[in-house]
Amino acid sequence: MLETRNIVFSYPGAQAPLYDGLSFVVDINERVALRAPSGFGKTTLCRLLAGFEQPSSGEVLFDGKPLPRSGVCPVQMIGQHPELAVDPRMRMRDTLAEAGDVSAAVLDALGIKQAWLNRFPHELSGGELQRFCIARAVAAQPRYLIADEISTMLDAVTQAQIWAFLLDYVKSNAVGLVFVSHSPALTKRIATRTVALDKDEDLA
Amino acid sequence: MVREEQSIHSPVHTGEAVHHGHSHGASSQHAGGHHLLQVEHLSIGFRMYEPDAAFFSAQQRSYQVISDLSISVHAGEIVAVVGASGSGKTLLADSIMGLFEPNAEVTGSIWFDGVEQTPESLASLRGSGISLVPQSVDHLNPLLRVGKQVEGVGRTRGRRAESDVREAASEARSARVQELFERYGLSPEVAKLYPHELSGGMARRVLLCCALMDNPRLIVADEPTPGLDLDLAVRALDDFRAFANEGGGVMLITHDIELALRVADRVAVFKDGTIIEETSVEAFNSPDTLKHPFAKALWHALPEHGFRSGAAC
Repeated sequence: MLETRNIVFSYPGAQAPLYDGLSFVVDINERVALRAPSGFGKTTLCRLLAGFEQPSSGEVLFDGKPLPRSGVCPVQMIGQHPELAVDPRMRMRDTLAEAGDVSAAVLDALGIKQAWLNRFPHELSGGELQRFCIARAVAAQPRYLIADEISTMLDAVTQAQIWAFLLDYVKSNAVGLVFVSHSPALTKRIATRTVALDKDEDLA
Repeated sequence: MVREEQSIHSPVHTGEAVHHGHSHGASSQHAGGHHLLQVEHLSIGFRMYEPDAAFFSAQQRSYQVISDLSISVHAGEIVAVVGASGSGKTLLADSIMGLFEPNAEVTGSIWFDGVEQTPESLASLRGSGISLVPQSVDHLNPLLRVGKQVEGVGRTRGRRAESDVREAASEARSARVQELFERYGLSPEVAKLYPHELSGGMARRVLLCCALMDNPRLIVADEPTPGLDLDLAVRALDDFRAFANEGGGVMLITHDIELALRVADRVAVFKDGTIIEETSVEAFNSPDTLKHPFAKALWHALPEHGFRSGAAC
């Protein structure tokens, strides 16, 4: 179970905190969509859930305990800008290896070609890079995946292909999913529940 | 170097007429009888070392990415470019801006406003004729406050002007920045922030403001909407529509077909480095009016339709 308890967070120098006492729970078999206007703090919440940021008060709990400060995090995040999530001076093969062994079946399901493994990030398109980021997150064998606008840089066919892979993955490995998307049609396809951050109500 | 365009033709088209490899929708405009932008037989390859050969014996070879691509944008028109990820759409955008990697081998011709362009002349059109909305938010200068970045674009024009003229121009530019920020729901405090302090959607809006700042003739928008909520995305596209209606041209590279169809006049479907189908927006109403199998696959893969991944070819 992934849980936030009364978290308060603000960036240094900001006038008002982004959230003031935000609490919600994501069960392992849920696929939760986060909804809020642009600039509200969806990405920051994703980063808090994955342990990249620490709340100034309140807690993020995984199975009742705080996220581990070292080692592999059981909550893995896939970001919105794949070009900023990979080391520009590392070949893709080494970037993937950071997370451990990636099975050929995963590479295949994500449409990653062998020839891409020897390339540097600037030699791949945004959509191609994003597939590596997804493979890397999955290779870490997470219990929760946080997907922040992961498919906006993909064409419709690839988007469908990648979400088919991720849906199958979270269902067959009992992985919880929290995701952000601005597309209502996609949200309807994926989500079991939507949380509207700017309103005090949970929509079923 | 500069030649007059030979391809001037009648400004009136019927829906069925095909010329320069494309047809027109009923609503397509054709001001001045020529294309604002015309790309003909563009091919781009990259010199790379043979990846499988041993280090010292590796030979260079050319790796073809874009081949024999032709596309045109008329004044007053939005052309949506949709297609497979990794098929070279961003390379096309970069070519129009005259941005080439050092190891690129490029052939073909690009015409802007009836004049054939060289890489150098394309570079001089950047920001003063053609504006780019880049795909990646890392195009923003990380060390410059965003207000200054939006305002600063194209300032060189006033460099030699008298100081009072320059001051007036500078004031006009700050006013324009405020106007654009207001339009896109960016509060005045945002101008003082650095790019890393922005959310994805805010950075996207700042990039849009940069492109609209200098009243360009042509906007090349490379995925301008990711990270924007639906209202903002629609507003951005409506602005492109308004810009086109005033005689500008827009090449809208996007994955969001549904949104693109709302504003575009024509759609070009891109796959494996070339345009496989250039068609009117009306043809996207149903898969039956699309000719190429990949265009049909795109239609079926939309979350609104089948969300089908199996149809990919």
